[in-house]
Amino acid sequence: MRMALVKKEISELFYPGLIALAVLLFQVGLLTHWSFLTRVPLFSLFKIHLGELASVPFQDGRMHTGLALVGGALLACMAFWQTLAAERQGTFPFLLHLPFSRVELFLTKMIAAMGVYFPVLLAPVLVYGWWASVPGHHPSPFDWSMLDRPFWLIFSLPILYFTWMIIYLLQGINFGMRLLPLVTATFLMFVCFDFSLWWLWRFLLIVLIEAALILVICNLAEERDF
Amino acid sequence: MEWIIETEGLTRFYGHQKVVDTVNLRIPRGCVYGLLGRNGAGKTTLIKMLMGVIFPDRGRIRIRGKDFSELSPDWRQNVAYMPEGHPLFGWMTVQGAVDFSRSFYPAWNNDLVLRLLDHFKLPLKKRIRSLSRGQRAQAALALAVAPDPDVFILDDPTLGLDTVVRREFLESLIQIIQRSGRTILFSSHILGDVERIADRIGILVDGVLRVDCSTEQFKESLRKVVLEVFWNTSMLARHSWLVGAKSGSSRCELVIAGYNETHRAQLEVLAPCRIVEIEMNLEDAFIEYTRSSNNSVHLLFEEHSPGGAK
Repeated sequence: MRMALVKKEISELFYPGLIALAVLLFQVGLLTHWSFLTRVPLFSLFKIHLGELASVPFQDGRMHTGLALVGGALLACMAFWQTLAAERQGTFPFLLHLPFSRVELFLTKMIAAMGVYFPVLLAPVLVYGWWASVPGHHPSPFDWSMLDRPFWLIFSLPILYFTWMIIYLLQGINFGMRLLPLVTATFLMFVCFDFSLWWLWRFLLIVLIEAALILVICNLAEERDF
Repeated sequence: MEWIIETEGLTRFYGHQKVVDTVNLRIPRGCVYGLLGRNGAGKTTLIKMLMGVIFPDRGRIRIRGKDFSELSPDWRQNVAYMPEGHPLFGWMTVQGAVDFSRSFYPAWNNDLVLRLLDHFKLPLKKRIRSLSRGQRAQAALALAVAPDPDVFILDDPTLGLDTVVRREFLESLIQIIQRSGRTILFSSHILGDVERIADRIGILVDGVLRVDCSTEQFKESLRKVVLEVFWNTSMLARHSWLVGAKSGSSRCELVIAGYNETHRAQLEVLAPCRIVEIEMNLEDAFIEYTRSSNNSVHLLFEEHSPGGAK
């Protein structure tokens, strides 16, 4: 029966996920061989920021910018849909009456969101990586380890999703105060990107932050009125 | 007597405002209980607390004799809950909503739900958001009935439905009630509906449960008495049994709670030219009772008769 709930959640997040995937694949297109598109006035913006054919794939930061912007927007959108939008539509009483605990319900929501998020962000990175790995596509050396920065980004970005969930679930606090967790999360994201840290410390740090945020969400879900 | 729902001193604040105030409610098995009250009286808050959607600030809830905190989530499989406004997922088709709900209830009766949807002439392929409000209420009712629950908790189920749809909805509900042993708690503003199906009513006034008795007893207890008099009636306002008073030049209309021979004797002492007693229907009785500004008005409580429902 949990699968039915996961399917329902994924169905609701399908279109935001699809849009994010389309945007990222389009960016990959620009970064690879579709530079002709940047001659179209509408896309000229991409030429400056994202789209110019990369000399060294994954090393110039343009893929990361796209991932961070699109991934961040997707995560904020998913958190909004799963909390505030559901509350506005009045569907929480229906969901909370299902024979689940509140914690199970919210964990299922988070699993479904991650089930949409990871494929949407990983697929363009892998496509770009595959393109970069084919000899002759670009004039620079390539090694799969060059993908570590996008992977770290993708792994740490859910901090934003969990933070947005907390922001939306907090009640009775003015919005300015609610944004404090977002400021904290942004700071933590920077800490996670300190590449002077040994990878295992960085990994554990991200896991710890995400686990702490999940605990806060579960606690809020348990005690909050809907 | 087996109590399906019991509350003890249930209290809830929104900010500094007490929206549900020390409610002690007991609903026996098989009872059809109508929860009444004006807008903002606390009906939805009370129902949401019973369903665990919001939490009380004080007090206890017991479902089938078990404290709410001890209940596992499975207890909801035997309780149908229709929140106000019939919120369903608008993007789902009717069939999709059936398939989604079915997976959560082991006792799901798919034949029954399909028969009900057919009876309501609800197209299975239509999206919920494109259904009318009445059709959505019918879909919600069909989904609520399908798990074969013992208890129904319905928050204003006929809200926003036109007369015909409302009547059809109620008839379906009556058919469902007819299965013995089912307990129904529903809130409504349509007093005619409550009068038709409720054994017992509770009236919330500013969060306080001021009435908890059988529908008949409430109607009988509240009596409009017309006096033809030539004196000032303001002195009557001090009595707790006086729910309301309207006076004209030679005529005074009193609404009295718990009307009996003693009241009549007290009125006769005032030497009116004539006393006329008028029975009221539930709607009139409710209106008179709830619009009273007298906060110390007589409370109407009646012990449950053995056997619970009529």
